[in-house]
Parts: sequence; structure tokens; C-alpha cells
Amino acid sequence: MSGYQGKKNIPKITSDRLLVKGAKIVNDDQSFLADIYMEDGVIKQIGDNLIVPGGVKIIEAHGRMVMPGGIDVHTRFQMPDRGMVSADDFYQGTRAALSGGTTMIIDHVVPEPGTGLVSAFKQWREWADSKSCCDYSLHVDITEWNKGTQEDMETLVKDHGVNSFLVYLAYKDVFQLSDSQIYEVFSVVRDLGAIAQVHAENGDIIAEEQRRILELGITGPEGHVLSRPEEVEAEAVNRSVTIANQTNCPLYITKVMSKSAADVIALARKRGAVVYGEPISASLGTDGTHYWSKNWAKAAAFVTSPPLSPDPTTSDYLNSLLSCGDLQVTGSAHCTFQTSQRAIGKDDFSLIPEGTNGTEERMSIIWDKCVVTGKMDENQFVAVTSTNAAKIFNLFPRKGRIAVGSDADLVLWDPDVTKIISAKTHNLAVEYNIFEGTEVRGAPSVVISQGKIVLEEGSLHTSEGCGRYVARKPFPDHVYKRIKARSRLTELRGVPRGQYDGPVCEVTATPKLMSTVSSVKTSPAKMTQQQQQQQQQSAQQPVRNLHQSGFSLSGAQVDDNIPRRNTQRIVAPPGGKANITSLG
Amino acid sequence: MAERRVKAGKAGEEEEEEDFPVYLARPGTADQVARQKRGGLFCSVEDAFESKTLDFDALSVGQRGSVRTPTTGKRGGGQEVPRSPATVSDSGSSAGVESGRGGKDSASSPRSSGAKEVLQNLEEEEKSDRLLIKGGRIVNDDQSFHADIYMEDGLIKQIGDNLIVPGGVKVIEAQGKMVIPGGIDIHTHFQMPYRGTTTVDDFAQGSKAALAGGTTMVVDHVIPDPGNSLLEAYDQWRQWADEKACCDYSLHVDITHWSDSVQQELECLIKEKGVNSFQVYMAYKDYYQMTNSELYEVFTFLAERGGIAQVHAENGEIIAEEQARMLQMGITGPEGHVLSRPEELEAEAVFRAITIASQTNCPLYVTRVMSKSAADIISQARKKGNVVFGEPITASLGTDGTHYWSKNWAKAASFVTSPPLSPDPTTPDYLNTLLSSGDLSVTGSAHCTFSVAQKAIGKDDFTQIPEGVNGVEERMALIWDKAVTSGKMDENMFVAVTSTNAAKILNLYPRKGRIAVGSDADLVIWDTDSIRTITAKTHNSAAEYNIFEGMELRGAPLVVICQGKIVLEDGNLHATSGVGRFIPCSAFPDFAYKRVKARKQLAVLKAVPRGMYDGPVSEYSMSRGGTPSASARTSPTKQPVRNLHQSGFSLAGNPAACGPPAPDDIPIRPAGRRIVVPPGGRSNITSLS
Repeated sequence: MSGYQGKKNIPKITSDRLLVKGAKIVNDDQSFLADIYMEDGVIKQIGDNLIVPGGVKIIEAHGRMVMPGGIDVHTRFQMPDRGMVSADDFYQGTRAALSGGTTMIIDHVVPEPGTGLVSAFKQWREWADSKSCCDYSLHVDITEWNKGTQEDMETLVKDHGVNSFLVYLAYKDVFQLSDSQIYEVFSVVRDLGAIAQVHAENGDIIAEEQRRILELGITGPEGHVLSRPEEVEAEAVNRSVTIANQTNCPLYITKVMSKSAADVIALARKRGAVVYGEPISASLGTDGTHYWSKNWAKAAAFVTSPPLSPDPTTSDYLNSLLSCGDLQVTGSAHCTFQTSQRAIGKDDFSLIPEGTNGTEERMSIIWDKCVVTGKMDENQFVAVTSTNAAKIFNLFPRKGRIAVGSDADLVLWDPDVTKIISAKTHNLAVEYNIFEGTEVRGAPSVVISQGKIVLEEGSLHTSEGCGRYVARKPFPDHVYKRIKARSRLTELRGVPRGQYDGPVCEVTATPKLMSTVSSVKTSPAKMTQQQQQQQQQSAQQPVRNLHQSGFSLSGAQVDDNIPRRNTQRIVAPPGGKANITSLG
Repeated sequence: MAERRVKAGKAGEEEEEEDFPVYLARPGTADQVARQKRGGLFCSVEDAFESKTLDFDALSVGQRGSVRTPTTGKRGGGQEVPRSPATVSDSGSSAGVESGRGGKDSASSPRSSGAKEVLQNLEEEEKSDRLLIKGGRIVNDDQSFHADIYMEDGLIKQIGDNLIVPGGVKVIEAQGKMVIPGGIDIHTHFQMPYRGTTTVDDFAQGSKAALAGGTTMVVDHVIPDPGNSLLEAYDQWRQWADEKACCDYSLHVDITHWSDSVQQELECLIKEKGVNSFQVYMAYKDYYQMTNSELYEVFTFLAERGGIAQVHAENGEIIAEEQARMLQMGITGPEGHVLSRPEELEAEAVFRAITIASQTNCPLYVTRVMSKSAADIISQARKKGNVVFGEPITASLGTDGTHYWSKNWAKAASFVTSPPLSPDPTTPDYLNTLLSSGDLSVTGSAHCTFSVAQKAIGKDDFTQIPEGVNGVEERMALIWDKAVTSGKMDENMFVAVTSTNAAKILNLYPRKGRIAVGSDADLVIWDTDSIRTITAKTHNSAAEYNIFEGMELRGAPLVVICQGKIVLEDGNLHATSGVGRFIPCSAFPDFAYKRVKARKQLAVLKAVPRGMYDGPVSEYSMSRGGTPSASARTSPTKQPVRNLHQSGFSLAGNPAACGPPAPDDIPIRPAGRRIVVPPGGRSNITSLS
């Protein structure tokens, strides 16, 4: 299939020198014919008639497309859940990714509430470094919000190359954060120059609906989708867009699963919000009608959150939005569980561990649904499978582009091959594949990762543990150029007025709580600003909240310098009437 | 009376020592603040109070002892009593004074106003409630037609041509002018207590202003303090309104906290007290604000019992953060109010409320639609089929939020209301368009006025400024001018949005909101040509500022008939305090609930019948669960303070759980979970299909 002409057992010394001849190079902006020479895992030359050292392994592309290797922006390999671990670990998972043409994954670190972000991050590094077969990076999920969290975030951004944090609007009482906390997280994220990701579902409503549905006696997987209607997803997306706009923070919605959520994102983009949407393999390739399958194990295999929409036209719609640019990146949210693990929730759908497969199928599904049908061209395909992701997460142009100096992560794509997805042939550790029986056109024929051929003629040659951690810098240009411009613009100013010196009505001692205070005191984001605040206190009249007084570091309250006033004094100015009170 | 006289005496003293500031003369008397006659620094609207000084005449004349019943003729000998010199001297230019403006806190009795009075009661007292309107064009929300209307005992008895009526009936010649159902202002806050003070317009003053503007019924909001009984608050409001209201009224009750006892009270209010609409707040964090779960429960509760859920839609949590930010930046003036409450937050909350309402299949009513984006979300939801009603208010239909940046603090503060007026000057036009197209359904005024001195509570901190604007008097004329004169809507739609739709939502239709035989005799003869300029000098509210100051409006009521009596005629207002009746609203209004009921029947969920899963089950620990229980207000940063008022509510029995849930903290059901490995191996339901 590939134009490979050399011997397989080429000496080790030269094995990382590769020449792809006669390729049609496909980037997100253009396609052109050229040869590519790689050495030491980096693209060294691009052009015709390259002068290369001898003994180089040559791959004949015969005019086929060579594109940047895919970046799967959302995986959850080896994710712990209630003492279990998801079935695909970093080895199994990255192998599957490579076999599907994906040469980099970004996994989610999910710290258990109570453990610090940094220690969880180190744990994930350890797991991934020992097992990963391709380059990887890590998002960190913020599962609780307290004093330490903010410091951990700073450490992660400055020392560990993390520039994206996920918050949950769902999973009430476990991961869910309140609106005020999210506001604070977003403020911190913006100051650090990172990307705020959200899992967007209204956890409060879901908790109520789950209870109601269980009360109705619905315990099977269909209860999962019934208790998480797509409106609830759209609502949360809308809310997070609003908060992000307020805080001028770039927003990234993970797992766009429904039409209405996608619509909210598209609308927000039209209004100018800096927001990105990530549909996943599952939402692009299948739908939620399977939740009603009579086969419990099959139905349970589709359980993920937000759930797949029961509306069968959803995937087509999402593919259209992906093609027109309203949605920008694709992940897989790959998080697989064995049937026996799913069976924890056999009597209660709310206990079924959540997640679907998709890292292996992602590229092929998008090619089949979008490029074959003419919704997008090959360049847009590259954009949504790798380039946009690389730009948003500040990996560009090292990843997501075929250019001199970029990493030698390439895929030789065969647009004509057809394949039937099945659990029998997939590279995963689970019994079910949610795309079972789907026929897709288009597949990688050769995959090159870190300058080495890992897939060729249908056989995988991966080596465990060779994946490198790719650090990502904050303030990605693609995202933050606009944010910076806006933050310069949005300086607010008060109206200069004379002092009001008219009569003031008396008020009772119990003021109407306007709550500016409680949030100031408890928020770690604002702790650091307390010093400045002390000087500015004259404008602010906080009410001391005795229940929370233990929080102040010094024991002094922020409002100590202000005399308590039960009543407002009536000021009679010696100067008499001031003009600021005249009818203007 | 005695108290009033004392105040009057003080007013007299003030006149003598003109330079002495009023507020020094009377320290401490904050409630129903001194309507300072000039000299006060902030009474800068010249002559604004001239016409509102106490009318001693009115107070001394009859009526005091008499029983107030709606049907009793009120015209005693009062008319004959000549205006006392005191009144004349007190009110400066007595000739220009229009009668009918009561002292701000006087339980205004019928005013004596000389010659014009004659028109009102040509006949003797008993006949005074028989009225015939001849030659009018009756405008309902569905059609307009020419007919005469005969009213008796406060009801419309006959409609048609050449009616046979008893003799001695007072006849009003309408001469082809429009006769419309009296307006229903579905949102007012008269006499609202606020931190120990009360809004300056009480039920008397407020309903008088309403009548002057062609509104013959108001629906006020009962606001119980969080933790207090809803029923007690309701009784309190009933008492205030029964004493003073000049027109029929009804009440919404605001749910400011949520507990078992609140549920019982709601049950009682719906079944026995004639309240069918309840407002919840998504703003005012730590005070009125409800969590999403509470909203879900309130909506579920109301949907079962046939109530309408009203929401004050703003995201209170973000507002609190933004307010803190503004104050930190040193922005303390009224512009901080609008800066800390951007319209997105309103739209977000509307969106969330609609989502929750749609989940719970509860009809939703969004009060105070102030911005384009909020209105857009309502109209989108209606297109998707949600049962949702939007209420723009006079302020949002008539003016915009640019005034928050006024250099005049008092003026800027007078616009403070929540959600704030949008600084986008095209907003009123847009909202009028949506109102005309039917995307927004009803109009209120959210009339809630404070004096400048009261607003000045927040002179150093915009978050302390009491919120509310005027609008009850201007509502009808403003909509006529903005929507009908401009050709956006016709007169029938005008009737729909000013009265009929409101009556339908409140389940008062066709008693109110329609001109039909058997309906209440609340009518307005509308003059489409009159042009008036709104100003605080001539308005009937007790506030010093009018947010519509200087606006020229075309269209005004010529004659207003309330409860079968003429209350406005030739520019003279003859309102009688205390005649207003409470109109009970019954549950399950057809207008909203016919659809909801149909959906309820459809929306029955069924489980998929499957064999028992008998395959292997993994072991797992219980550190994480879907916790389907009602939630615990947990938050890791904010060590939760147990709210004793709500402790009875948590179903989990653990309202203050916090931090990482310990295994025994979380009720996972069923408690004992066996790991089943069947001896026979997997059955076919687990096999690959």
C-alpha cells in the first residue's frame, strides 16, 4: 500500500532518517507537492530534489496526501474511577491512537478532591512517561477550589508546562464548582495566560432529574440520557460563555454533544466571544438511540457525559458546524470501561462509569463524515484534527504543521481504503466499540511518530515509554492576542462627580447583604490582593462575617480601619447647595 | 390625623425659616420622607412638590368615619366646602393646581375642586354608579366595533346600540373615541419596605398615579423577609392595600427562601388566598437568591399546583463578584450599578430559568425584561415551544441606561433598578418591536420609587442604592406613543399587552381585560391625539424625579372609569382611597396551563424492559458517586455555615457536608452492593450483539 521500497530491518543508526518522496503535503492553509526529509525526529528539509545523506529510508508517497499527525485533545487513559482504572492505559491507548493516525494526545489529569493538583499531575506524568507510545501533554482538571489550588495552578503553568485547566459544571457534590468559584477560576486562568476548559452540564438539575427518574423506576442506561437532556448542556454552555465573557477569559468547551450546545457556541462566536468547541468522535460518529438497546451491556457502553443525543441528525449537524469553523477542534474523550466495570451501575444508571472509545476512530470518522461528503476539504480536515488544537494549546508550529523545524509526526493518508469498525479488530482493551459496524472510508497507511515509522502495511511498531511530555507555554497567540487587546480596552472608569451632600435616609442596622464581602474574603484569587484592598477600603463598606473570620491571616479584619456605623450621618455641608444636585 | 397635622405644622415652620435645611429640622424621621418644599439641596425640580402638599381640606372633610365600601357613593358634602385659604397659601399657585393630587401619605379623600366637580355627579348619589358611554368604539384584543356600553354596580350590563337604560343615568359622549379595557399593571412595588424605610408611593399614591395613567388594576409583589412567614407578609400587604388602594388589586408573592413550611404556605396561598403567581430570585446573593436545585423544586411544586413561576433573572453570583471588582476599582457611583450587571448576566439567567422550567414543565414568567439579549432568549424559547412569558417594563420600553453616567448623582441614582436599564439606546425600540410581534406578552411598570434622600443611602457605594424606578402612570401612554403611534402594533394589540394578556395569565379573564357583558366596569376612553410632556412637576407619584422627564407622549386617557365610577375626567382625578378590592386569582390559568397539561400527559417516561444483568461486576470503592440526593450546599472554599432556616429541608440529612465526600457521607443507594459472579458465566444479554 505505501510506497515503501526499502528493507524493513534497516540499521538502527539510520532508522531515524526518513525521506518521504513525492508527497502531496497537506497543511491547514494549502496543499503542495514536495519531498520531506526528517532526521532526529524533526523535519529538516522540504522541497524537490533534496540533498540527503545516503542510507536514508525512503517512503514513496506516489502523490498521496501527507498530513500532520492528528492531535487528540481529549483523552482519559488510565483514569481512576472509584478504585477502578479505565480499561485502556497509556500504552493501550496511545497504541490505538497511533493506529488511527493520531500522533499526539492530551490527557486529562483528574485529581481526587483533596489531593493537590501538582501531586496528581506528577502521578499522571509517571504513568504516561512509563507507558506512552507517542508524545503527550496534560490538561489539569480543577476538582475543588481553595487556597492551595491557585498556587498549584501557578506552579503548573510556570514550572510544568500546563496551559489548560478544566472545570466541571456537573457532578454535583463531587467535582462541581459554583458560579462564583468558576468566576474566580476564570480570573486566575486569564491572569496566568491559560485556557479555561469546561465540562458543561448543569449538575444541579441533573441531580434532581436523576432522583426523579430513579423514583420512576427507570434504572437502565436510558435513564442516563433522560436525566441529562441536551437543554441542560446548552444551559451550562451558555452560562460558562457568560462568565468567560465577564472575566475576559478564553473558553474551551469540551465534549460538545448536542445541537443546542453547538448552537450556543456558534452564537457566542458570532457575538465575538473567544470560545472554542470540541465535538468528540462519539458525537460526530453516532447517536444516543442505542441507550434504549435491549442489550444492557451495549446500552451501557454508550454512557458518557454529556450523553449522546437521541436525535439521530445530531452528528450530521455537528459535522457541518465543524466544517464551517463554528466548532474548531476534535477530541475523542476516550475513556473506556469493561462491561464488568460498567456493571457497577446495573441497578442504577447514575453509577455507571462514564466514557466512550474514539481515539482510534477519530480521524477516519471525520474524514468519512466530512471530507468524503464534501462538507470540508483536506485542509480544513487538517485544521480540525491537528492544527487548531496545536494553535489553541500553544504547540504550533511544532505540532500541527508540516514545516521545516516541526516535529516529524506525519501521516500518509489513504482516502480510498474502506474499513468496518469492529471490536474484533480494534486496538482497545474493551469488548464493545460504540461504532461497531460503521463503515468508514479513509485511513492512515503510514504513520510516523517522532521520526519513526510506527504504522506500516497494517502493522503497528510501537515502543512503550518512548512518548515525551510536551510542555506548553502560557499565552498562546492564537487565543490571547484578542484577549490582551480587549483587556486594554475594557478599563472602566467612574464618573467624576462632586460629593453628594444632600439628605441621606436612615437605614436600619441590618443591612441588605449585597455580598461583596463574603466572596472577597473566601476567594483565594482575591487573597493576594488584600494588601491593595486595605488601602482602597475607604470606598468599600463590607460587613464583617463572623462565621468566616477565621480566614484572615493576621486575625485582623479587612474592615478594621472602618468604624462600624449603624446609622448614616446626615451631612450638612457648610458650603450649602452644590451644583451636582441640580437637575441635569 | 394628628400626626399629619404635626407634620403640616413643621412644613409651616420651614416656610418661615427658608434657609434652614429641612433635613436638619427633622432628623430621624426617615420614613415617608419629608417632601421638602424647596430649599432642600436635592429638591431641585422646581415646583415638583407644589401640587403635592397636604390638602387640609380633604383631610378635614367627612369620609373618615364612614365605612369604605366600593359601592358607596363618596361625594358627601365635601364638594361644597370651599378650599381653605391655608391650602391656597400652602400650594403656591393654587390656580394651576390640578385637583386630585393627595398629600403623599394622606389617605386621600375625594378632593374638592370647584367647578369641574359638577360633571361627575349630575344625579343624586344612588344613581352615580349607573353609567352609559355613548358612541364609543370598543377596542378589545381581538376586534374593535362601535357600540354603547351600559354599566351598573361596577359591572358592564349591556353592550349594543340603542340600549334600553333606566332614566337618570349619567351619559358620557365618547364621540367615536376608543374605549378600551382599563390597563392592568402586572408588576408594582407600592409601599415596599426597604431597610426600615418605605417606598415613597404607598398604595394610595401609587394607585392614584395608576388611575391617572389609565391603569385600573395593579398587581403588587409581596416580599416577605427571608425566614419570615409568607402568609404573614401576605396579610400585611393585604392590610396595607385594603386600607389605601384606589383601584382593584391583586398580589404576587415572592418566595425569598425555601423550606417545608414555605411549601405549606404556598399551598395555602394558592388554595385559599387567591394567589397564583410566585416570584423567585436568581439575584441578590446570600439574600433572596435561590440555587438551581431550589429553583427546580419550586418550579416542580408550582407546576403541580397550577401556579405561575415568575423569576427575577440575573446571575447573582457573578454580580456579587463584579460588584466587588467595581468597588475595588473605585467606581462607587450609579454607573457601577450597570457596569456590575451587564446584560449578558440577565440573558444567562433567563436562559437558565427557561431550561429549568422546561425540565419541570412549569409555565415561566420573566419579570422585567430589560435588555435585547434577554428578550431574544425569550423569543427563541417561545419559538422552541416553551411556555414562557416576558414582561418588559415601562422603563425598559421608554428610556435607556445612558443616564447612569449623568453628572448629577441624584438623577443617575433615580434610574437604578435591577436588572438595570441597558446602556444601548436602541433597546427600547427593540423591546417595543418584540412586544408588538407577541414575543413579549405583558407589560408592567415595576413601579418602586424612592426619594433622593433614600437613594442617597448608597451615595458612597452603588450597591446600597435602593432599587426601583417609576412608571405606573406613564405605562399606557408610553406604549401607545412608542408602539401604536409608530405603527408597530394596532390598538387591539395595545389592549392585549396592556391588559388582556395579563388578565389571562392571572386567570382573571374575562372579568378583567375585556369589554364584555358581565366584565368589570373598568374602562378607559383613550384620546389618541393629546400630547403631554412627562415631568416630575405634574406627575402623581411622590418621587422627586421622573425617569421619563421631558418626554413628549402622544395618547392619554380622557376618561377613566374604575369599578363603574368615573375617576378621571377632564384632567381631574377623583380617586378614593380604600375602595380597591382584592381580586383573587385562581390556579391553573388556561392561558398557560392548557399546554402544560397536554405536555404532562405526553411526557411519561418508560424504562426499557431488559433481563437482569448477570455478568461479572467489578469491585469499586465509593469515593465518587452520582449522588442523586438533594444537595448539600457544599463548597470547599466557603466552609459552609449551616443555615438553620433551611436545615429541615435537606433530604440527605446532611446539609453541611463539605470537602471530599467520605464514603459514609454520601448516601449511595442501595447501600449494600454485591459483586455478582454468576456460576453459569455470562448470559446472552451481555454478549456482543
